[in-house]
Amino acid sequence: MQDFFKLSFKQLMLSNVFLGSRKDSFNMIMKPFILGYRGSFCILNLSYTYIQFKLLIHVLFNIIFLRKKVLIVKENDLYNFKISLEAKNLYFYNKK
Amino acid sequence: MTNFKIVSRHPKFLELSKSFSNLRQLKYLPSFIFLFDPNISEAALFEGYVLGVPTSAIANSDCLFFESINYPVLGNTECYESMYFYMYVLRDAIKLGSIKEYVEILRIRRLKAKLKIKLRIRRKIKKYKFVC
Repeated sequence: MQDFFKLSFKQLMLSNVFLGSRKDSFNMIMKPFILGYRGSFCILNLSYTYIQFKLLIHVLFNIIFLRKKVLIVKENDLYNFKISLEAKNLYFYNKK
Repeated sequence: MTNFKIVSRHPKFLELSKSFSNLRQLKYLPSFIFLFDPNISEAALFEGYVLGVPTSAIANSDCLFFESINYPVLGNTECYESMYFYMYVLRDAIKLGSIKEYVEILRIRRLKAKLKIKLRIRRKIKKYKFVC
């Protein structure tokens, strides 16, 4: 059943996942994951994200199969995630 | 008036209830925490780290707490298109997990139904023997 879920590089490219933060504010620990620079922005290496996404899906898949709870943390509901996720219980944590 | 009613009218209580009232419904510890921006919601990350709950977060190139995340995912945290993408990935993973669970429940129900039929047949045979 896990094979039904398809992730491609095209999806990642079209959704602008490769764009990082600005040059001024980047962390030195993240340097091995940065592919290069374009203007004042960093560009992330998508080969890492692809593997990490696969791992995350595998973990989530097994957790929900065992009837366990997942907490999704977001500062506010700007993009109407509650509707898009179709979740019954979704909690938001405001820092302000 | 009770003490709770007096406190609930205080403006500071109203301010705090806006930010933390949603989490009041949580009765049990979650088994997994997913963060969208670890730089903003660092409190949740460290709470998970202390309690031993596995965490995953989307780490941009300016992420400060990369080493404390169990399952980090490299990605953009500022663009709304990418945020929607992560959300849809999460939704699909959750749905597939729930479908697998539902299939397992159906399989168990079928097994139980088969067992019931077998038991009925055995009872009938016993009755038949007794009559004879």
